[in-house]
Amino acid sequence: MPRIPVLKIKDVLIVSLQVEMQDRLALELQDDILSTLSRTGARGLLLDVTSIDVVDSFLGRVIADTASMARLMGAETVLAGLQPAVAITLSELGLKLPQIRTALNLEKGLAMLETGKS
Amino acid sequence: MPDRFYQGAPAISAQERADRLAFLMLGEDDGAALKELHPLFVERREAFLDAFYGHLTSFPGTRSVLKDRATIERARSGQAMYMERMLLGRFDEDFFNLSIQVGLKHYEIGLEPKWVVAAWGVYLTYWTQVIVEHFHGDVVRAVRGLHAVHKAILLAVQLSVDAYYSKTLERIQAIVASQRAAILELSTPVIEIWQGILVLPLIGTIDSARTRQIMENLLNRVVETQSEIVILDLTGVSVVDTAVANHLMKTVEAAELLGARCILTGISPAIAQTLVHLGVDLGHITTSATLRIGLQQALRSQGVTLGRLEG
Repeated sequence: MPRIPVLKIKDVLIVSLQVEMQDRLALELQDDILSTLSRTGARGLLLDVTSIDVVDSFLGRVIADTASMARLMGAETVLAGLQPAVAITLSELGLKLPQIRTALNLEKGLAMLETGKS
Repeated sequence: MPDRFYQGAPAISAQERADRLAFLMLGEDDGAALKELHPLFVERREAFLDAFYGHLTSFPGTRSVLKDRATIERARSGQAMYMERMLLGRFDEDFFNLSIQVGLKHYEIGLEPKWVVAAWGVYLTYWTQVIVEHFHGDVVRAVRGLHAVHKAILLAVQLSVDAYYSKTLERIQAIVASQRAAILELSTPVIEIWQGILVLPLIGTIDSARTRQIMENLLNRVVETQSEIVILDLTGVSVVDTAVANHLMKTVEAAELLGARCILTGISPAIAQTLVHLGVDLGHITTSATLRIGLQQALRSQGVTLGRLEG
């Protein structure tokens, strides 16, 4: 089973979801992110989902939960590069991502986290 | 018979064939009665066809279809062949297919069912005379023959008109589908009015199918142009109901998931009243009465200021 790397640049953790996200993989990733957050004390979490074509309600929930958990640990989450089809599915599922800010691409997401709280 | 004749024709199963024959009460007896009339038809064929086509060409409606001698000859031999086939008294799959083919031919040459039905009526009149004459007052046999001819002709009419209408319906459906596609395309132009600002002018009635299209189109353009602001302009929308408001909210949410922000403009007094009365919560969305104001807000948030040139 592949593991998704959690990269740290300055104060921000960057996670790029590149493979089809099985439920277990998503939960493992959540663990990895949270433990890295606690180890490094990063202030921001940037989730890049550019290459994700399908988000089901479980993955959506895991992403929302992870953001809420990261917030509790003092990090703000930005979701970058969501595909239109995925956005439609999520809005039709009625899934809300209240703790998450969104960005059109990785660069804009990084800029959002670097300029700090808005 | 080659299969291409049946393209686009309604497929009729064995069960349905049996049901149709039963409904018409067209049975073995009729088949036998028709077979008995077969020699009579062969004998009278030319006289009858002369009279029949003489009748058809003396009316403008049918004359316009039977344009020239060649067309008349083709129709005439087809008709003779079909009548002979009918008088074999076998209403099997082959006869059904042949009848459907006749209907498709009518469609092809533009002969409307009203003429087809009436022409069969002419046929029937002729047959009644011939049969009554032929049986010399043997009422039982004459009635038996007439019944069989009636029912066989009604079956032929039914099948050919069926085929005609299924073709017509197919054509209309194709037209409707292409027009719907054209309307969808025309009605969802997404305009990149400034770098990073998209405008979607909504026009007319918004329904579910259109909203879906609008949403997909808009979101794709947001990603393509990497625009951070989307202005949804409702100036051209006459009516907003809960469904439409709901669709709009979904579009806005989806755009926000991508990282864009939405501004709703062109809210007319009527739309404002409807939204409030419906209790629709547009929540945190920026709204404004006119596109002009919305655009100003969008430009300002992008750090753009517009002013007159000095001098």
